[in-house]
Amino acid sequence: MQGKAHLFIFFIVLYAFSFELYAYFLVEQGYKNVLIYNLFFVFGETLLILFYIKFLVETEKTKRIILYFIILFSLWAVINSIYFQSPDILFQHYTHLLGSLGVVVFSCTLMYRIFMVDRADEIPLLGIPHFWNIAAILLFYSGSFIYFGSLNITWALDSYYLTILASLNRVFAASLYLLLGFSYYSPLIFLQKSGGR
Amino acid sequence: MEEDNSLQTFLAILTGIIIMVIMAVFIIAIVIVHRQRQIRNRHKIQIIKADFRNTILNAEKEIREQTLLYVSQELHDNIGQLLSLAKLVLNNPDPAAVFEGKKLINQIIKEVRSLSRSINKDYINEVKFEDFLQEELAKVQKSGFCEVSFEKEGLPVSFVEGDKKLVLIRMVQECLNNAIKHASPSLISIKLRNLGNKLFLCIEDNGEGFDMPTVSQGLGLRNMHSRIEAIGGNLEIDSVVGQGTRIKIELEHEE
Repeated sequence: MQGKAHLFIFFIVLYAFSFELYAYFLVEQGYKNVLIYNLFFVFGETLLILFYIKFLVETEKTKRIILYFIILFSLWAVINSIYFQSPDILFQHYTHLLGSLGVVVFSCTLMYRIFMVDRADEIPLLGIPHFWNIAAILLFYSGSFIYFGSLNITWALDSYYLTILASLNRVFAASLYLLLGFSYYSPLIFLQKSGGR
Repeated sequence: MEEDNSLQTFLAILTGIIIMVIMAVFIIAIVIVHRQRQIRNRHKIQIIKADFRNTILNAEKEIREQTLLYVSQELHDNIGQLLSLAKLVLNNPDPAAVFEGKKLINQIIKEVRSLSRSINKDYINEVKFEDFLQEELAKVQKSGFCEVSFEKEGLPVSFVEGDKKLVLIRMVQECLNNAIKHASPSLISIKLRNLGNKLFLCIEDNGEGFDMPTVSQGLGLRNMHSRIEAIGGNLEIDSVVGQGTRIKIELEHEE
């Protein structure tokens, strides 16, 4: 199970690296990359994160709720694409708002349930890779929730302010992927310190 | 217009930062609370371990004391008497008395061997639990105090955890001592049932019994409860004045 989770996180990092690279390549070629972000970030990555959280949750009830949310999110993404925000023209922040809200709420629930209620107490929290992953996801999505949520307001701003906001978001995104990448080294650092397993 | 934009940007950044700070505080709070709980649990585990060690040490000490008491009684009441008798017999010049004296000396040798076995430090570890129960009952019967009975059901008992056996042995001794000292029964019976990893032991006497609400507050019974809890077992005491006492012990153990 641990190995599967490790592979899944590795896949997310690789996936993000691939679409970011492709989006960068498109911009360099003078094309718009909004469709790539809508498909792979707003929809794809949110789904992957939600599946990761579902994988970590232990109670059947919460698993079912996450599954219903995934269905709702997918439906909303389709409706938004057809009626409100065309995916090849606009960044779909309506879809992203719902997705990131779900990620934040489920991450908080998971933090509370897995790490405070269900888990055995022998292992230090900092030595659990999933703790770092969920903490990084929670921080990134709570920040990006506001950033992308207020995008229609900030769209009218001059490029200086937009650059500041976008840079902040990039820093958080980079921190997220770094933490996802390095979280599996946390047992080596924190479990050895506390006597190892 | 530009002022409005600046304000909106400022508010967007501020809201984002506030939410992130709240989330960061939430994460840090979880880490701190978890750490404190971990420390509390470790402390609790240490206390439980110390209690358990204490229980085992006490049980060992009491078994030793019980054994010494038994040895001193045997030396005085049994071997001492047999030796005096042998001396008397051998003082008789009749040749038949020599043969009788030899028989007595052989019996004394047997008794001494049996005594030396019970003093042996490894005896408790090596003896089978069923054999121990029968030997303890045999001692009671031999003393002429009362009749005894032993019943066994299920599989033979073999303890992997020596500590559990030690505590259980001490509890049996304590139950028998209590019956002898306070109950004046005409019959003491032990029933043993082993269902693989679950052991049921019932020690029953038909003596005077006691008033449960009064005596159950006493130190002796509380000790017995805490001991059996220390090895993960369960103790049930049922006594009626004038009818006797039944002590049931239930214990999970590894085969």
